[in-house]
Amino acid sequence: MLSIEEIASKAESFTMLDELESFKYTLFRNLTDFHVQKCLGYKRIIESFFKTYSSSTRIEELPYIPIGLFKQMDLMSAPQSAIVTTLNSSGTSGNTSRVYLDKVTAINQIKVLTNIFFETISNKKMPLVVIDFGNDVIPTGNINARSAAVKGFSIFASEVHYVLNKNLDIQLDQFSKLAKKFGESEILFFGFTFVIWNNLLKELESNNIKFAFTKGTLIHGGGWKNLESYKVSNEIFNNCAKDRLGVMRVLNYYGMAEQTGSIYFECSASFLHTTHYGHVIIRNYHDFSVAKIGEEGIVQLLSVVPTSYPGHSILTEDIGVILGDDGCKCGKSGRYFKILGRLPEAEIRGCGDAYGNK
Amino acid sequence: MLMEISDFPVEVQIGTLQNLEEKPRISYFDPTVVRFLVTLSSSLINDVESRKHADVMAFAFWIRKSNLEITVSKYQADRNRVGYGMCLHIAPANVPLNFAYSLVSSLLAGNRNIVRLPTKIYPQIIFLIEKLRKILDADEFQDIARSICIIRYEQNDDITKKLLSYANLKVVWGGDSTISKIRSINTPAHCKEIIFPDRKSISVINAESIHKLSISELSKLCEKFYTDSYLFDQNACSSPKIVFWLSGGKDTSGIRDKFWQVFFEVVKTKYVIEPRNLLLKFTELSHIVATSNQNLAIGAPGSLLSVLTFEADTEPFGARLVNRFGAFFQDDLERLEDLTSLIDYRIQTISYFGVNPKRIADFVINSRINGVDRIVPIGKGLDFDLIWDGYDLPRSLSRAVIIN
Repeated sequence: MLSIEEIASKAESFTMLDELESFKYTLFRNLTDFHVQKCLGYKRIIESFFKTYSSSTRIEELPYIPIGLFKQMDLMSAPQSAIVTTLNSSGTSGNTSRVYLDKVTAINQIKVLTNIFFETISNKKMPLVVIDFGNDVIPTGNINARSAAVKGFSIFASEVHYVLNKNLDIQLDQFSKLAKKFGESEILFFGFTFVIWNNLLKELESNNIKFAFTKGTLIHGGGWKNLESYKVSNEIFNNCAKDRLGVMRVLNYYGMAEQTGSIYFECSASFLHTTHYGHVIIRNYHDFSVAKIGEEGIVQLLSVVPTSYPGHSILTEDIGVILGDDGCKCGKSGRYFKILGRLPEAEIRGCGDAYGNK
Repeated sequence: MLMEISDFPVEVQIGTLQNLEEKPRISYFDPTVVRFLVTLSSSLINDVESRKHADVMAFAFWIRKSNLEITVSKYQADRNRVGYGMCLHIAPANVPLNFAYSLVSSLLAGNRNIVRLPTKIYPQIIFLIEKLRKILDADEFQDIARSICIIRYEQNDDITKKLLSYANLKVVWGGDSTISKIRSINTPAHCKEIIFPDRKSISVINAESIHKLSISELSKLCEKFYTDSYLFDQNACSSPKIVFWLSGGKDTSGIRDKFWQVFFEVVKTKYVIEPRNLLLKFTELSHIVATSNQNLAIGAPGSLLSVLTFEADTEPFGARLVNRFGAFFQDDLERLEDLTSLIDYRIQTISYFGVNPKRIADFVINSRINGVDRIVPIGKGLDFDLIWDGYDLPRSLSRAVIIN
């Protein structure tokens, strides 16, 4: 299989869309073959549902597995002895999804995240302000998605500052000091959308405090489902962040704990863009067939990162739409899309528990 | 006093809890109860609103006069039976009218009743409650009115405990986890228990009989099979999870394919599944195949109908039958007796086609297997009967007095 560096330079070299498409197909085809060889459970699923994938020619014809499966069972494509980290992500349904990282996958997560960051945000290191509490020790072994993301973004930092305490209260005096020191320089803010909204922006608003980080960039992602329940749109969030922090840009990103590192940044036109390392397909609600451009459906995510577990192609529980394969008005080439929410919970008829499960 | 319940967040839909503390008012197969049910039935059947709800109509037909007369005659010879007293019913969450069947069974047995409705609001329940209220207003049914209290409350062990302290009998409709939860609540020693744990069901079809059907006959059979399986997302205890093809040793693959093909046409015109559930189906089936030691070909992951051809091994399979939303295991069966080692206590219903039910009954009884309480033709899988899960309900819900 190709290394992340090889993928980057190859993908960079293509000028035609169909060249890139066939490159990506081969990439994910090989990755699928790899997991079929290495993970028996995955092999059984592929043989049950995607028998004909070996004669496929397009990326849309490659297998995918449902994201919920990582909550139901352990899937590994590396020997247990090679696993260095277990990444836990507690979904909204309460069950925890578990993905198993060996050294290669853990390193590739960082490499891919770094490359995407450098291509999208900046290629030089700058101070990073994490809108979260600091973990004195970044744990290995069992970690959750949140600390994995913080760990990832810390790579780009010349220095790291955490501005919330353990109770998630904003440390205003610390924030003021940062404003004095970095008000005029390039600086990066990072945090979870909901935490930024709830524990920073709302706090600044109710105390009527404004900062002016004129060269600042705020990156946020994850947990927008909570925000939705607060009826906060992306636009309200952006405006509020710009107003209160005085940052020059606010960028949302989209990604899954099951594909850590392989994230998608929002562009200046507020669309998410695919990367060299990942791909997005939208599938129709009622049969999982491929949706047309402009049609809403279920989001399938592909990522070159997962090699120690078969999470390189997953069907998520999110709703999205692809707006084009090229020609976004932001000027960036490639496929661009939008995430519209999550599939609503559905009732299940039948002899369900009236009392036991609540 | 039961009145103290009013300190708790209990929503009383019908009757009052106080009434239930009065003296018993109805007897075993009380003629007033029968008259009340007949009145309810015709009131439901004559209301156009009922027709919107297939389950309301099914209930109304179940208690219609002619049907009740047959029922009464079956129990006519019973002597010296009397209800236990106060019965607490915990109805299941996702079968809206199940509470009504539970209540009727217990009224016929001569009990006073507290019924806990599912917390989810169903239009059928609202409709039926409204009807009940009107009929229970009549002077002639005051004894019945004082034997029924229908309530709704969020899961709350304090309330349940309080209610149980007055109960002589509890009827707990499944899920296993509901049953263990209710069992963990301190209950008076004398309180009897009727429980309906998780069950699974299977179908047995004679391949040769399918072969003889015309396409339109096969289509009709498929409609019936659809009702049994898809009506409750294949998630009811009585919905078939496996189809066994009685083969007599012959190759059935052509017949099976034809059946599923015709069945798929029926499914496509009728079944609507929420995308979230289709995704759940894919997840659950993935789990099944990933942990199986057989190769289970399924086909497209987003299909409304999934058939998993497998080889039933010699282990009981009840616990593994978690397939739903239109997913069926299938296997050939040379003879009925081959089921012996496979069936355990989890299997509730065998629905059949082209097989003599007497043959199945003989097999069930003579092989002394632990499971199978119902043997019904395909299409009747969901029909409620006073004999359910091995209980003869009027008799199980009442006590027998011996006089020597």
